[in-house]
Amino acid sequence: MAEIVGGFLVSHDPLLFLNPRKEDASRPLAAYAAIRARVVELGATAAVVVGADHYILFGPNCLPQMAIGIGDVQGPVDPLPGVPRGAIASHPALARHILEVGQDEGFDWVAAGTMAVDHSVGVPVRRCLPEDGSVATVPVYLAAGVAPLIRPRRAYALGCSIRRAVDSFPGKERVVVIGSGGLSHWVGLPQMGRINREFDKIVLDAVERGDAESLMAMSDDHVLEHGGNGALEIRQLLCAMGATQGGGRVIDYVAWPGGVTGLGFAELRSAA
Amino acid sequence: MSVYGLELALYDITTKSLVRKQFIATPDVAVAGYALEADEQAMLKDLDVGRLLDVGVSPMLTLGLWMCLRGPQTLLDYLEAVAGHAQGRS
Repeated sequence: MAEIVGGFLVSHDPLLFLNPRKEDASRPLAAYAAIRARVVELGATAAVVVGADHYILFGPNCLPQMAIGIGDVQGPVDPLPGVPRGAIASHPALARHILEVGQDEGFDWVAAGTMAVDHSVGVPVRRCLPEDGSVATVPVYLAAGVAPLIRPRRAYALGCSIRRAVDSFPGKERVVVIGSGGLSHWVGLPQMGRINREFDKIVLDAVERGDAESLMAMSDDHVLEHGGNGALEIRQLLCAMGATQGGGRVIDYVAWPGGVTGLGFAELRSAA
Repeated sequence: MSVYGLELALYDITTKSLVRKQFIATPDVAVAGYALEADEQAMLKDLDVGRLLDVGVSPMLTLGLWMCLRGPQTLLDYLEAVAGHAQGRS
């Protein structure tokens, strides 16, 4: 049967690629490369990539709590230097199975037959997966950037559902789950550029312990005050933690001066 | 209109190239296509991201609008434009 062989947490700060301040970006870019190497070492054949919409895919006419791409995938739609665009190798069968298992368990997925992803999925796909398309992507979006937001506990539970779906998928897929979300950052707000290293350490320490409960216990008001509206993307981390069920190790953390986000990179172990 | 009406206009300008081109070429015509009050139309045409934040427009959209129209190298100008304004709904 298929299995989840590991997971990762990554940031997706577009400024890392736009680099308007012309800062040395080699260290955070190396973290993406390290994750790509681990994806290959794990023998992954598919990746569930969990991102957050930034009012790019979904508009005020429809704001889904959870969405999954079950057909063609392309992107990222927002052009970034050094991030290729175009078709993305997808896995419709696995995606549909995740959707159907979720439906049976009470998760009302929004399904997209075609999905043009933004940078939150596009950056990890293009930077963390092999360039030859040998690791197929299942794109997932959780409402973390635009209200109404998915509840953190619901995001974690959805990750657990994804794990059960992979476990029951009839095939030999080796699946990694990537939670794509920033640590502290204030998107579009006057505080934009502030990075709270202390908040970021609390989050990454919890990730290393596999302590999802302490992250779910954080109120949104607390996150907004200490981590900014961008840190509400801990939902993406929680989904990946729910899918892997193990602790983790921090690959790197960089409060990169050229960007606006505490850039965190971690590997998650899949529980036996 | 509710803030969602404003957000719809911003969303269309930032994600639909034809709408964006029309907004750049003939902003009066572009904003007339939305059910907006005169002051709301003015906020858009003036690219007044600070006021847009004040009335509750998502900062994802105010930033996106600025980047689409002014370019990604103008982040510092954006921060200057929103300095001192209240946090919008996120």
